[in-house]
Amino acid sequence: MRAVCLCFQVHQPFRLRWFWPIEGYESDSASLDLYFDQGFNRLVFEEMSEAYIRLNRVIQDRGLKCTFNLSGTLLDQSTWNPELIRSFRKLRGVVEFLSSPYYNSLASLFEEKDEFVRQVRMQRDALSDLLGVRSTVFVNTELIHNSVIARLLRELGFSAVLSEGGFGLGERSSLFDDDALFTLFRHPVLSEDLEFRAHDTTWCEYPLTASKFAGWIAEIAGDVLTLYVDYGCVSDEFLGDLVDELGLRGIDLLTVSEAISEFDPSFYDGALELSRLNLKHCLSNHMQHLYLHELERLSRMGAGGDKIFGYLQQADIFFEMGDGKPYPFDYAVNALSILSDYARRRV
Amino acid sequence: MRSLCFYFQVHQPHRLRWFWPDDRVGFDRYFDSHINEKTFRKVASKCYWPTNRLIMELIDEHRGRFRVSYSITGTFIDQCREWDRDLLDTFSQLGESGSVEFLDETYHHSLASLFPSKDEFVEQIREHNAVMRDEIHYTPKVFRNTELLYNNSIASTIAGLGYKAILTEGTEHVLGTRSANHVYTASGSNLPILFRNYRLSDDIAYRFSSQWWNGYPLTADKWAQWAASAEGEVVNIFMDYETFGEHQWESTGIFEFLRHLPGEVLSRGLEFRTPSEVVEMYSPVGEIDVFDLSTISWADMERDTSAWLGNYMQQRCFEEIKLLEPYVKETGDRELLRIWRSLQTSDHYYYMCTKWLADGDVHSYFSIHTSPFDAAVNFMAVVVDFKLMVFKRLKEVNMGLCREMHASSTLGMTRPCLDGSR
Repeated sequence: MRAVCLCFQVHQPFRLRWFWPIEGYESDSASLDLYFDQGFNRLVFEEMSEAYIRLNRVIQDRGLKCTFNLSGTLLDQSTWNPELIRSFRKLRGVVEFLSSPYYNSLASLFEEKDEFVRQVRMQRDALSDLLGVRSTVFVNTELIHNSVIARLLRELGFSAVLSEGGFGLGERSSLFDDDALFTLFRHPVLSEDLEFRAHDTTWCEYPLTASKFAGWIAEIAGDVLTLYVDYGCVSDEFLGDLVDELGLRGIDLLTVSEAISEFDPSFYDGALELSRLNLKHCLSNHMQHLYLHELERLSRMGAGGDKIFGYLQQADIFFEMGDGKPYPFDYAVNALSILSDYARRRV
Repeated sequence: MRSLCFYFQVHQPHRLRWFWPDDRVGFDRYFDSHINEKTFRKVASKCYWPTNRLIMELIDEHRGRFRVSYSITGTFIDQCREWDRDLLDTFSQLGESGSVEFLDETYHHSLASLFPSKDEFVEQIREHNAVMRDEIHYTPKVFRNTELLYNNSIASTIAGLGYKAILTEGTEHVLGTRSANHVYTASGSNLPILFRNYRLSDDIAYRFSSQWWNGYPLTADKWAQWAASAEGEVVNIFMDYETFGEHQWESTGIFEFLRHLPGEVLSRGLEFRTPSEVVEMYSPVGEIDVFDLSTISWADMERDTSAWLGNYMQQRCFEEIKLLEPYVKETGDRELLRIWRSLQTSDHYYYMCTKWLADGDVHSYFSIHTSPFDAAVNFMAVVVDFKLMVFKRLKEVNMGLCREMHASSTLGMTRPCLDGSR
């Protein structure tokens, strides 16, 4: 492997509260405090933002070329610690910032795409306002990609998109040219190794050292390998070590845009229906489909537009209803109760 | 003279369909008439028809000495009207025999008695009283609440409506060391109470065909002997009517048991009496005090409200329905009101129960859902949709009102618009 694209999702959701219907009827209007556990969200954010700032310092000190997707909800939460935005602003010029749907939503799956487009524009405008950067590369929530989204992205002026790769790519480059929209495919196994299995003490490769991980990357043939992981999953020590180990093996770090200009794309002839884990974790059971359907109905009713409706669309809400979660059913009943309180006010 | 008081609960709920918001409208948008009809017809042929015939024969045979009582829910009557009117007529005939007493309850077999205000509860009782008069030609005088739910405020509401007595569960939580086999009165309202003798009732309703049970096999002769040797003045045997042929299949011998029961009981010097007769015959021996937070029922081992409101999913679903009351009523839409009331039926909440031990078996037997979790999520899916319907209708009503007011204001009458629209 000649280069690695190291991409980080920097995201904190607004987690739902444990809500009782009576609270909805007793409130004259919908509010963030009514539906979201702002105390807890703030607590998590304050802790995580300090970790992000420490990582940013490593990236700044060493001039590492990485790519970030800052979610809109993270940007919103940054009012709780404005230092975080300042810290990202210092990285401009070296790192790249991606666009994504503002609310980390699944709105790209709605039949009508206006809500999706609205959120993409919102995110792009926020990056421009807060960081002063113009983003030309897009990454969708959970790496969802298909030909309809590709067409929309071209119309919105994006030149490249980051999506989910698979085993089928073999030794071909993970960079493809899809009708004037470059597509960079994430390496799912190594990304999930780093994000999840690295912390699993029962995993046969535990503990995952930077040298072992860089060794795996070096063994893979090709031009560029893309990793896309949650920023909170790596420690500053590991990040520094990984860059050293990659350097020892002659592997460069590149941003997405640099990778696209440096390497020649292949032509991708597979089906363009991609997403992380095939969305099994966020869109496989009845509750998740129902919740998505109700969001779509609300969107069609013209209910949208406000922050609350945006936050109710977070993919994170879908994860908690997933089959492997501890209380998916209680969670779903709670989420539907909140959604219906919001919906009745929008009739 | 000692008495045996039989009361049978006759109920079928309107079960929900596996809900997905689509183009269906009205009651069928939420309720599964296909599965309801299928279940109704199955139970009608296995239980209601053969048992009604047998009871009628026994009444004839014993010339008025075999006496029983029934509580028939409005939702059951709905289903008879739709799918088997003749069955309804056989209940009327039982009433005409003079040996059968019918009781009142809430039309929808609902949990409305647990609402903080008793207004909705009272409306549903009146609705039931009306359908009993219209369809069975009978005016009930004794009350039994859904699943025998009971507390002081339920009792005083029922006393206030002029009922002669109320039925509930003879649980030790309330009776302590006192016997269920007497008439008691409710604290505060002095309403006479009949307590279910759960041991002798469940010997038939639950244990009849249980081979692990040392009473197995149960014969009419053996059971009548137990009943005759019970202390007290009256043994109250309350059970689901579906015990005969449905919970206990015909092959268990339950119909043979019932056929021989009256003869065995009468030959031991016991008399059959209906609830009204019992409270006229016997003076109360004590007072019963059950605070609202200690509400009792006949369900499960706990004999409380935990079968319907034991977990967060149930509590949240119930609260959603409870809180919709003023909005549903403000629409003045009869169909929305009927749907809302049908969503109060206790069965929906029973399906969501997660108490897996011993009782869990019974819950899953009655449920059409694969799990209580599916039942809860499905109910909530209905709530989300129904709530939208209610608030949409409410908006239409208010806008209509505004237009009317606007029109009347041109005639010199000025009243404010409710939602500020013109």
